[in-house]
Amino acid sequence: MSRVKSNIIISLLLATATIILYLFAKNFPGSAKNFPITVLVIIFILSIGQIIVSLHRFKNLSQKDFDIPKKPLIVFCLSFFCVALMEYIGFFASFILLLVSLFYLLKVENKRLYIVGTIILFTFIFVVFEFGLKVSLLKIGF
Amino acid sequence: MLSIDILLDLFSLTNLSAIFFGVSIGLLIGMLPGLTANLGVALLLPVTYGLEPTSALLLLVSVYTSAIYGGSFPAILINAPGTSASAATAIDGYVLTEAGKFNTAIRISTFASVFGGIISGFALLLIAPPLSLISLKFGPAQYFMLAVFGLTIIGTLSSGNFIKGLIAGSIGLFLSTIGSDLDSGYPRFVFGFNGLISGINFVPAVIGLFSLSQALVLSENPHKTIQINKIKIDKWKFLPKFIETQKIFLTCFISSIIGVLVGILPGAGGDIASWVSYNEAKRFSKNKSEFGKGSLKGIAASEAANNAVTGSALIPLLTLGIPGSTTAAILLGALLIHGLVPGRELFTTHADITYSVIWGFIFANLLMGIVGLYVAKYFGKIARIPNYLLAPSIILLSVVGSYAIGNNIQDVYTMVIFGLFGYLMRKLNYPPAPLILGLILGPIAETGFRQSQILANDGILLYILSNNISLILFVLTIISILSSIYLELTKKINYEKNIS
Repeated sequence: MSRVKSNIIISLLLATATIILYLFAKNFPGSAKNFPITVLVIIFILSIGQIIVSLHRFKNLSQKDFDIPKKPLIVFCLSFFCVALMEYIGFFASFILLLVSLFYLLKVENKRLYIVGTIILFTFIFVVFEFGLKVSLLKIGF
Repeated sequence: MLSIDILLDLFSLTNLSAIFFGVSIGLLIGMLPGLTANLGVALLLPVTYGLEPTSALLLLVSVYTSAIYGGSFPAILINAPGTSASAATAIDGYVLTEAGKFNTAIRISTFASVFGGIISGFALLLIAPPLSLISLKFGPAQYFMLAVFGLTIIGTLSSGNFIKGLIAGSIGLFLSTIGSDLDSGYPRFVFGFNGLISGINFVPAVIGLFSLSQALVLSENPHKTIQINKIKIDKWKFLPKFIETQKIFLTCFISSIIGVLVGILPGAGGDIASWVSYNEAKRFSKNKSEFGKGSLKGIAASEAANNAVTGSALIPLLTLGIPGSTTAAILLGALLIHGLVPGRELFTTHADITYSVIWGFIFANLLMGIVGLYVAKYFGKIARIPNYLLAPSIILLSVVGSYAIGNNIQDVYTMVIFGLFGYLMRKLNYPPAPLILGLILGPIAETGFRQSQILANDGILLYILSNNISLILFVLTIISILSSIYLELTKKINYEKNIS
């Protein structure tokens, strides 16, 4: 997808979202709606401005490709999944699962690193947060 | 300004440890190309929850200034600036490294960085207290216009595309309205999610936008490694020679002043300061041809200016609540977390904390030079840490850090979602700094807006413009928008000329 096209699509999505949110906001009681409505109107105007600028500006740039690689999105999904799991299997089980799966996804070939990396990070986080900052990591999910 | 109490507080074991830890982490982050001061400060923000306000702020400002200095190492050694503020340093620094004078380049950059940092610390000490008096004259209309001006200027300056910067800032303002309305208690934009009733906590949002998103960027090239030629460090000299310092002293001084002035402007960061200083040093040099060929003055100008920005960026932050840089925007969050509201109170009620932090900042600049010169020998090993180790470490620290804020899993979800949001913003060229500033300044802007509405008889705009301070802020806002439009148009005309 070209950069210009992606700019227009994002701006259109933003403009549509502001219209939908405006419909919600206008039902807020009293002065609670004034500020959000003002901000939504500004976002809408700016989105339209961005569409106009994208259409008129740097037409030749449309050849420039724009893409989002898959790996970071998989890393995000893994992180989200492990955070969700945290509530069921506890912090450290999901911690190890996340770390090992990240090493695997990022193609770490040195198997010793799986163990050493996990132990070092585990110890560091445990010492700093559990002992130093009194964060109850072990109680997550239990 | 400086009393025995402040000195005793500053040199307590906790505060000294905070400064030393901050300097070490900041240097490490700055030395690693791809990691920024923003990431360091955002990642350490939750760690400061358990600390006293003084120690917490000392830790964060030490990370900030050291990360900017640390960025000069990869700029000089591998021609890959660790932070954008060190880009100008690479021009002459790398030439010296190729000529086998890595040692000299590092000594000069260290001297200049420490010099610039200390000058900016004293500027902060001298300018901030009188400037904070202005905040006493601020009412609802002024606070509203201040928030609008801060957002406009950081939105227009922090991005190549000013509309995108403004959109990001406005989205931040919108996100700040999510949750219970402070007056009526009505849940706004909650859509049935109970977790949103208390609003969006900006700390996990900061961690997600600056740390997790950076880890996602690093995961794009997990096996990217840096090629470093072996450096000869047999005769490692720590201290700059007298003849070297004599040669660059004036350049350091002028560049530090430029850095201080640029830093005070909201939104204009270290990269602008270092380029302006580099160009000025070249313009006034008797030997212009040496620039770009390993000029010591070139390195000194860039490094003194970018570190001079770190202290002066705190001037508008501490006095008016407008951050002078992206990192300062995150520091604004840190101030609010510890119950410190920018303005006159910081220099009266909380003067002990504020002055301890300012003196600590000056001390951190000295310490960073000492630690920096010592660890420079090991730079080669540090810079070779691969992305496949950095990315998982940052992700895990982001998860634990955001949980540590309130022992709440909801904050972790917020962080993860903002992480994806931040990554997409980077890909689409939307700057994340205005969004976070909008999220922080949103409640101040809304309160000012609503109180102005109540006080205004003849319309809110007339009410806002009826006061001198808010009128000035309004004019400045318009100027910043118009100047951005002018710059965009000039860019377009130049581009079309080049095409034709």
